[in-house]
Amino acid sequence: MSATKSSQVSSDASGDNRVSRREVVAGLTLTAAGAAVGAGGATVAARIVHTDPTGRALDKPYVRGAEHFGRLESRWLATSCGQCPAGCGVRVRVVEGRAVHIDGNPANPVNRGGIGARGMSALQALYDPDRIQGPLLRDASGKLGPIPWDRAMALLSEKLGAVRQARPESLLVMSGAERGFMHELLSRFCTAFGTPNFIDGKSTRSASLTGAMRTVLDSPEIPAFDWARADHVLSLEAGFLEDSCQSVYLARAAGEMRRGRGRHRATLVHLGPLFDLSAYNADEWIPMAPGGSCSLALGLCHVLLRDKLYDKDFVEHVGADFDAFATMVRTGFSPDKVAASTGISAAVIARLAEDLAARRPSFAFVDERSLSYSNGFQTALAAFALNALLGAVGPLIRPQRKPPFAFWPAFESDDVARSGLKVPRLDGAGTAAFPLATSVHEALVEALLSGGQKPEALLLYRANPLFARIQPKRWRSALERIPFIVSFSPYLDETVSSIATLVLPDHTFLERWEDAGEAPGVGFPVAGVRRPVVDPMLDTRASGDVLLELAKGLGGSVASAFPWRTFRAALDVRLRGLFEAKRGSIVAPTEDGFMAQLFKEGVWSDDKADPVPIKMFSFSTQYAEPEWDGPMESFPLKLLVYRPLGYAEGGGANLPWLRQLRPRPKSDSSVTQATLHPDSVAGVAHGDTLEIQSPYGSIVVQACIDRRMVLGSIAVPMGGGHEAFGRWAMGRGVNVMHLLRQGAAGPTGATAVCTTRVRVTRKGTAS
Amino acid sequence: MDDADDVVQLPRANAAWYGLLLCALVLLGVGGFCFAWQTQRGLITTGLRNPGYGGAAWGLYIAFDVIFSGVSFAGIVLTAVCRVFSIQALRPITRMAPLMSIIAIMAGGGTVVADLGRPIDGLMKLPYLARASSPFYGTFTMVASGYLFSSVVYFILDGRADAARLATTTRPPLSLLYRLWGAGYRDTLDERLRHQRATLWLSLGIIPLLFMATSTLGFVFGIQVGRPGWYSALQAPAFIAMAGLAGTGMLVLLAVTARKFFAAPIPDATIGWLGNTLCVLAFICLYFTIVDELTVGYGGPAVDRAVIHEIVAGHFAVFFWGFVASLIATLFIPLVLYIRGRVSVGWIGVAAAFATFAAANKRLLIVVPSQTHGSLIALGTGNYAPSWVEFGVTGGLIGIAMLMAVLAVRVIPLVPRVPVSDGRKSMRPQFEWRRSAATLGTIVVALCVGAIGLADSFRLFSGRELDSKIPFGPSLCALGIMMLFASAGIYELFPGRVSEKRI
Amino acid sequence: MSRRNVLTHGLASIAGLTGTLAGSKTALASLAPRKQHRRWGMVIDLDRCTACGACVVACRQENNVPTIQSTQDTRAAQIEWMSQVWREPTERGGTPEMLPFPCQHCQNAPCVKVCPVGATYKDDEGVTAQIWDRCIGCRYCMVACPYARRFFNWVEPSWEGSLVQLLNPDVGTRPGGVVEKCTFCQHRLQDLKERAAVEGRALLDSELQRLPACASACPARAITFGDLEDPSSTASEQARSPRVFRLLGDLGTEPNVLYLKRDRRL
Repeated sequence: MSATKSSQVSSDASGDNRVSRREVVAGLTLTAAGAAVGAGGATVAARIVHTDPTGRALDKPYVRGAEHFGRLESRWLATSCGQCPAGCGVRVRVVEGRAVHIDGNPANPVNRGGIGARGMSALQALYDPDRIQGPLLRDASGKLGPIPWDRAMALLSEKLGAVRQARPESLLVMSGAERGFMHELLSRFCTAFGTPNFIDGKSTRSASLTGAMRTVLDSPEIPAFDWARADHVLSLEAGFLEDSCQSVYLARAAGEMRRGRGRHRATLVHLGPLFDLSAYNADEWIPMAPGGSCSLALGLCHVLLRDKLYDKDFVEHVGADFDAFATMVRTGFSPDKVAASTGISAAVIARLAEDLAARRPSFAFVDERSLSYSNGFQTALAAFALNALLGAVGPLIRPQRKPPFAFWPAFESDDVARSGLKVPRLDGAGTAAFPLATSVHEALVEALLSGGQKPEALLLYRANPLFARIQPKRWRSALERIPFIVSFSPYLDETVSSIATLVLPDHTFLERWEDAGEAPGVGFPVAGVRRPVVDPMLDTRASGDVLLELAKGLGGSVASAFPWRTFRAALDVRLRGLFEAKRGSIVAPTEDGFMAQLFKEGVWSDDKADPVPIKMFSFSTQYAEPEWDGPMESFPLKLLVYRPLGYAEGGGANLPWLRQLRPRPKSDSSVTQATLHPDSVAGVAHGDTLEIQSPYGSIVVQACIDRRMVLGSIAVPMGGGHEAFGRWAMGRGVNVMHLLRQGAAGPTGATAVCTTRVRVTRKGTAS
Repeated sequence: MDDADDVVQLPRANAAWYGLLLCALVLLGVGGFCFAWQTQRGLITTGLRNPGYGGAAWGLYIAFDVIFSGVSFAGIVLTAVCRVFSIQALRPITRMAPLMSIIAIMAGGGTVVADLGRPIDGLMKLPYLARASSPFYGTFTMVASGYLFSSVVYFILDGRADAARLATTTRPPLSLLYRLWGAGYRDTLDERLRHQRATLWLSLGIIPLLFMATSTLGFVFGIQVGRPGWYSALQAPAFIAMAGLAGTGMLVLLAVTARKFFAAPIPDATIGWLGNTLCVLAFICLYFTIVDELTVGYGGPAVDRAVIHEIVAGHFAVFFWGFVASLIATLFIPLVLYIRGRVSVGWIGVAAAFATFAAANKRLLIVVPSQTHGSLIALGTGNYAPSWVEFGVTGGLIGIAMLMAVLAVRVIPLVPRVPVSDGRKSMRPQFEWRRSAATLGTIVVALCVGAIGLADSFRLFSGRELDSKIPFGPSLCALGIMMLFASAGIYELFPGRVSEKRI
Repeated sequence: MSRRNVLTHGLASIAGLTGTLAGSKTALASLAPRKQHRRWGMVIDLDRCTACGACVVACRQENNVPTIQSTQDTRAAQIEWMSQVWREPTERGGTPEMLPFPCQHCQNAPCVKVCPVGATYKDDEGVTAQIWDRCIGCRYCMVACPYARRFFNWVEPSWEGSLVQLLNPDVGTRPGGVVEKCTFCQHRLQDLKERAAVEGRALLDSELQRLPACASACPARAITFGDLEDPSSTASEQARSPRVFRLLGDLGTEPNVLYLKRDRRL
């Protein structure tokens, strides 16, 4: 249907309307032939005649749906992937308004032309037959029915206007996987509206890491690890090739460190309880008790200190509070002690430390999976301390440098906004309980359930708490108390289908203007941008535009804070900073020229930028063992919950391509498989049906026997058991989130998923 | 033999006949529905799946294709053997046997059609494009055209005497059929001598050609290096032995049925003879089985041994031991009867039933385990179990065969009245140069056409793998084979002089 | 313009082109298979591969490989030209190994030998190609292939709802009831040859290396494509590595897909 209306995209394409090489070919041959048919006809013919390997044409539509094609006008448009926060550069092949292929963009330093399975599956996310067709409103009988945009917008601004006049703080805004400036747009909206209750999604994934960065380096950024220059990497339970937000970047790094440096070969050692892709890709994998990274890192510090292998220069000049840290490590973390809690022998610990010291430049790597235990924050601190002793902080690890974006102009809050912002946040982020948190999902659900002043309205942007958060049923009873719930989800997810009042479906990332957000981990500034590569397929609108229109309707300081008509205009204001920097990969004399070039190449980067200087590194003496909930006697196994390769922030479930991946031996994506050692449950065999019970619920899964798995643990992937979300997602597998203990971990308020003990009973044998 | 007053009798429609007819029609109806279902929804409705992922791409259909063609092979070869060695004891079944061959090969063709992903394309493209380098080539040239056409020629020639007689005793419309069939038959001495000569040479052609044809069926499996359990030089001879066993067993069952329900005059001695044949063939089959399993099981590559293990002690053990047990029963029942010097039609019928059961098991064991459990690189696990659609369609094909047989019972004299050869070996028919020239000419042309067709099927003329040079070149090979067999008909049916005396 | 019109016009223009271009021999010569022997091959470096599965998805989106329908989830009926195969370790305590697993394009291909209608064949440049529409669906090639790299369309392939829009117009969809397989992205190769022909130049190794969709997507750059007969190509250079091996090498199928051994050690 979109094949016929490509006008908008072409007119927006500015510099991109160049004729493809194929068309040049066709044109040339045509000229030579002097045949009196249109250039398009020749293109088609060349294609058809030569694609059939016998050289004979087929007297039927060559490709299903090819009736819709006329001239086969084909263009490659550069944009940035939005399937995960990494923001890989991609090139989308668009044929007559249909996106038919996604490939990596070599110009983008994040992925340099490579691309991951998730990124390519974006085509299926775009053309998902189960996308919401247009705005929906829940009627009195509780059914969602279509509603025109103008009525939907009128209703939205009327409702929120009333909320703002009564109690602005009773608006709750929850976001999940927001990208780039959408986060700041939402944040600015909340401030201008007068509600402190902006619960963002960034915090749940990277809260421990950013919390640790604040503590040790006093930096708000996430760390960038320079894999390209390391000779030896120690991965502490990191899932860097599966659920990491930079798996493509790291896959490239892993390939390069083996074979990309001539004869020189870097090495990778992985410690963890599970034979995952990290273990598979490591030169050596050492099984370790789950959550043991914290004490292990400190144990390694102990050996480095004991054997005087640490970087004394760094400790003396940059380190702070070193003595207290050294004392703690010397007394409490001898290899023998650490061996007991990690299951790794003292000799191996000593060897690991010596290797780290001998093969410098080296570092210890942690990511979201390492930090998914209750002691995630402390693990991150310990890993940083270890890296500091190795002298890696600074040369190899430093805060990610942001691109020189310009800022949106400041605005004046009105009285309503000021009064609302005085009210404390519902989730207690930033208070004494969670001093390092920006938002705390687990505390929010408690606050909602405990009564008190309930929110009157909820905006959900790319968030599906009724599936993706711990104990979805509790979330449902908590959110059901809110009378007006607006979701911007393009998909009919659990939250939309069961509790949303009003649905204002967003575009997919292939249909909207956006920036890709910071490129995590690359180090130097990279600014990827997104552009619509196809016309909107359905009656959807970019949520940024909707928010701007809503702001206009609300008036007051909200309207004055958002002087732009479209999100693209707001985006341009910030991107102007890149133009004004006059450096990096794109330098243009005029701003228009710069923008045209930027959206043509899809990315601006500056690999010559000075690294963020490290002025001080605070050694921390915080330490915690991972906590496991539930009595050992009745719940003997530790439940490890992980994001599999095809999870894609919860969006992968309805994408058949991702469902067909086989990320580990004997995996079967049609069911939820629990990986365990055969001795963990008596008599268990591969393919058995198992019931997993925790104090909070029970699920039925299929056993996947792996002798490499550590004893006493069972690993279950997230992402199964959708009750909505589309035809491929529904009714496949089970949702492990029902089993988990609710509760926020540590001062960062991060959601810790690996905290629950379970018991497992066999329900049936493999047929 | 005094045949002047020996009127050929066709059986009446009794309860058994109606029962069999009903049974055939029910099977056919169910089969038709299942085939429609399969055509509508694709082969996903079968239990077949991708090999290497635990599935089998070939299953019940191909197993039954092999069974049907084996039965077909045995029928016509037994007839030929009977003629070549003038075995009078087998004479009574030499009408039923080619008929069985004809019916079985048609049903076998049906299984292939049911198995093809695009049956209509298959029927159109095979005659046009077939390549001789594919072992399937032999199946559809030599097996389809050879089995079918040699059986038809033999059946028609050998039935002319009876048909001519029936033409006088029946009323239209049936009599029209007999008149056509027996046209020109005047039962002169020359006519008889010519017939004996024609069938002798026909039989001498049938035996080697059909051995080759059945071997190509064995090659379909036996020369696949990528399928552990298949790759074996023993496949072709084992196929011949097993085909003989299956066909002889089926023939005994048919003969016993015909005797019991339709009063076919088949003497005990004939059944006894077939029983002895079963005994010998069962021994050969058992021997081949032991040799095969031992060779691979003792020192074969690991995957081959795994397949053998799966067959002998794993998923397929029930089929394997069922096969071995029925083979032993087929061996010992006739043996005991032989030692005790008596013929028991009932017991030989039991042995025949065992033989048929053994053959069916063996075919499944050949086709399936190497696919489900014999992948050199396995990406998944699974198993093959035929779906109801496959059972239904296969049943439908059995129904078609039954229907043809049931109809034939009422139309065709089941036991020939003329001896296989009347012993006057020294006598020769009158020499007629036109007749001989026509026959020889046909043979020469047949050989040329067949050779050209075969060469073109090997793409010798076009030099490309894809296309043959001559349109329908591959069909020429089949045509050549058909003409070769048809030469016997030319010899016998060539219009001769009228002056020959009647006996 | 209807499809058929496009086709007819296209054919007409091609016919005209053949006539008028007769003088310009260079262009036509490079369109035709070169006299000089060429053998396309792929080298997969398992030491680089991280088992991320990008190649699998890339192949699916490039080649219009039918995907599972929502109503049916039978693994053994799936079509995947490029697979991830996990090989369990042979010795105890070893680690399993993931192989990106396309058609091996054997020089001595068992599947080609058995095809009764010549639907599958070895082309002049070493690719095991197939004419989809010629296949009659006997599945002999699937049974014969030791690598299980051939897949049958057990159902008429369909793309549910709007998913049909993502089909690549360069690659034909296959009808139900036929077998299909990896083509080494023939259409991309042909496209490149056309371009080179118009520009009057030879094919460059640099543009061939990442030509197939799987190689182009691979983030770790583990897959290299190229002419194995050309000693200067990157692929044949890698093929001379001591780490090289062929899958089921002793079967004598002589695959054109080569693997470089994983090398894990400290």
